[in-house]
Amino acid sequence: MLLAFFTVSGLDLLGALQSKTTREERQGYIDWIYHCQVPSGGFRGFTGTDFGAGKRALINEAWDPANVPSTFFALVILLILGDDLSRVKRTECLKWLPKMQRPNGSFGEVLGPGDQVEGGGDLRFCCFAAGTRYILRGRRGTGLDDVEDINVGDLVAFIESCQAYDGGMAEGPYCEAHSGHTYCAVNTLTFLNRLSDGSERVPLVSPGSHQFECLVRWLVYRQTHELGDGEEEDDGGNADGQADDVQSLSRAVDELFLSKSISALSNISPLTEESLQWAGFNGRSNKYADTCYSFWNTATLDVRAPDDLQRASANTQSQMLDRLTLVDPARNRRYLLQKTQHFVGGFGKSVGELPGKLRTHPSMSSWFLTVNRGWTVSTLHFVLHTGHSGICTLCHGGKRLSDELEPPYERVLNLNIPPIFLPHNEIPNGIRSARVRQSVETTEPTLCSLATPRTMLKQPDEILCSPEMEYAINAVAKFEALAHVFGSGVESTTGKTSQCHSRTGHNDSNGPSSMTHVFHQS
Amino acid sequence: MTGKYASDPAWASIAPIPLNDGSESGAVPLATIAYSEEYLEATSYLRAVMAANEMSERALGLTEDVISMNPAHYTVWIYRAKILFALNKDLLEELEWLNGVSLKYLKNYQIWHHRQVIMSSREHFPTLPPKEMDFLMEMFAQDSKNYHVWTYRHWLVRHFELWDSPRELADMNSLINSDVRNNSAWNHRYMLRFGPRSNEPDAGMVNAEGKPHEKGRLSVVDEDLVDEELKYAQEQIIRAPENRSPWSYARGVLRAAGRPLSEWTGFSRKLVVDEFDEQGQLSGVSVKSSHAIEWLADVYADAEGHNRDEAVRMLNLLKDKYDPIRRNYWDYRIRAIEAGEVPASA
Repeated sequence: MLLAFFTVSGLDLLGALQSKTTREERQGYIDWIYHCQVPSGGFRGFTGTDFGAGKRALINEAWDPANVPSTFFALVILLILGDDLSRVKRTECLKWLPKMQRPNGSFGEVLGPGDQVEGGGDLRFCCFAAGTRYILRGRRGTGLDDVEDINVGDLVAFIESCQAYDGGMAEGPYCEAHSGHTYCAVNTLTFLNRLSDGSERVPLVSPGSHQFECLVRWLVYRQTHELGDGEEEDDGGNADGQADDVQSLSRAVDELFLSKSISALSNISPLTEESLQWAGFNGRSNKYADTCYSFWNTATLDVRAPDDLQRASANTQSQMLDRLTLVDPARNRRYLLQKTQHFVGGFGKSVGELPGKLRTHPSMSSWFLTVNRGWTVSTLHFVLHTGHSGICTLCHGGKRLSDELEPPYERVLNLNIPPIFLPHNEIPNGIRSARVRQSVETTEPTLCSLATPRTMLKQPDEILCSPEMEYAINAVAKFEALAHVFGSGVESTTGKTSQCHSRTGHNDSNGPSSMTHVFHQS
Repeated sequence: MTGKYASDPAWASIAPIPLNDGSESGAVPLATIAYSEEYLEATSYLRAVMAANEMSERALGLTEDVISMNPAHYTVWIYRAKILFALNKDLLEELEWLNGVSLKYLKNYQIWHHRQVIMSSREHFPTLPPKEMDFLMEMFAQDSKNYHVWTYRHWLVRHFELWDSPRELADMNSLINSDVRNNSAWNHRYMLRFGPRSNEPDAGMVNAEGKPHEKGRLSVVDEDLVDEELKYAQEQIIRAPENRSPWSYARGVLRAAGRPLSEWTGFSRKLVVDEFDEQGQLSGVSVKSSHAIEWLADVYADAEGHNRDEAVRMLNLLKDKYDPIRRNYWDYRIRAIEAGEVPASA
């Protein structure tokens, strides 16, 4: 379901959903999503657990469970495809959600035997559960008040308890802060605030509070010039700017020893522009930059309430992060474009890495390539985002990618960034597998025009008719940007999406507008 | 089908259930995966035994086969756990098998959740199995920051109440000694020292019911422990002054104890030393840690610090010289101070 989401959403964001699929195909996709719906509400993650008609019974239904993340993705796919959700077992799904909540407020992944909540208890599931509730429950007065709701207060309390001592959000209480979970935490609150009275102030997203300022500081701290590319001190996979001397301490430190030790330390030099050309983001303290975290961190910093919603609640404390301006966009852009792009058309995980962990299980190679191609879009999303250029065009060479590769080049137009030649001069064996090749080979000049969801949000009059909808699109757009990434690589599995690379065209309104009627609840 | 299950007499009684991806009824599957023949056959038998809720040796073996091909198949793990308990299998053996799978697939959620499910059985594991921590250290030897392993170890500590186990602190010391920048180890240390002493499986923050500014603060503070941890942090900072982890740790310790950042003014001042010319005028600053600059800025900006000019001077040092990547952030902090806002970032 995740891959399906990335596929459809990627096409949608590329503005190619309508032109590259037929109405019949889209209807077929919709039917497939509904095929994944389980009778007791919610959606299964993949068709592989379906026993077939007539075989499902109480004794075995735990082996064909609805899945929390998949349910959220299924709903969003349906919305993108223009479905009216009329076949969604809405009440059943909403009744199932509270069963997925643990006593501590968090959510699991699936309901196992004996209605046991299974799967990790982390913030990803919280976010998807809140998103599902958001889509299906709608505003008050929709006739669902008698359907048992999740315990919102417990969920918010759980999220708050996941804030680590350094300010970031962790998978659970007292775990290590992590950018992905931080994103999920903030977006869960976004989903929840939409439906709450808005009167309960959540310090984590209230400017001026200790929790909020610590969170912002932690997010800003994630930007780093430690790229793991060998140009700075490499002490074995762990980064820290200065090449400070690690001294052995053979005895306990008393005050005198402390002073002596400190005076023996050398001064650090001010950082120079040269050493700071590039700065990406990491996902945890003291890790090297990694392209995906350019998305997770900045997307979290960018969470904000739409203007009109703010006006509506002018006399209440506004709840948002809206701190994207605190990062360094230029250095991040240079990092992404100059340091991590790869000629096969994606971004590597980090400097010098291929877009794809192709050494892993061969059958997964396509998946990994997909993942990294996904990053292409998400990182571009950020470029767009901070560059305020609205439209960004990724130009992907004009040569057929084959075993005799031309010098690779890609460039991003409209941003005044010159073509970049990457150092890699051979394609790894893994990438030659037929399935993967299908996704990277193109026979024509390929141009993809990407419209960022932000662009849409800047013109709310065109597509938005209510604050709720803007909230919805905002939230979905974030997932979408992520999805892209995956979307552009899933061509090898659908045989459809690859076409979107081989056309030129700009259409900056097809994307999100295709789901404008999706979130109407009435 | 002519695969290994179809030709195995032990499976003759089972009618496999082929994959129904909906395409026969007109649906168009999205993101279909080109499964191997072996995987398709194995999962068709898996569906059949699951549909019958079969708890058997052959089903157990089948789960192993499927997992070896797709360890991210979440349902098969739950099914496997159910069979293990139903057949009263030797769970130590299961752990041994899991060790191999874990070392093969380093980043997988399901493996570690399964381990937790197995280990949760008080009947089988009334106390921590002796080799468990050894295996986790073996995992850390592969990747000392593996998030899944840390999350699992965190759960183990609470489940078996190991906060004061000498092994826990010794392992953290050892990991920090070999990599002083291992933030995961620092975080675990914090949980050992200042996390809630509750073995509830999902214990939340300390003093969670308190007022917002009191959340996370200890209600009973062991000042000796706090002093010990602050001293430890200083020792580690001297090893690597630009390492953010012990600085964050110290902030967390002071906050949990309800003590002020200003306790470290003297320490930080040793790392940020003003220089004066012959006329006694400030001529420069020698800096041994940029984190000390920020610490001082926070101290001076605090309502009790009464030294906003000095706070701004520190923040400008960061902005212009020592941390220009965060130039916009330091500006934001300066603006807050100049607007008279009490910093909430301490």
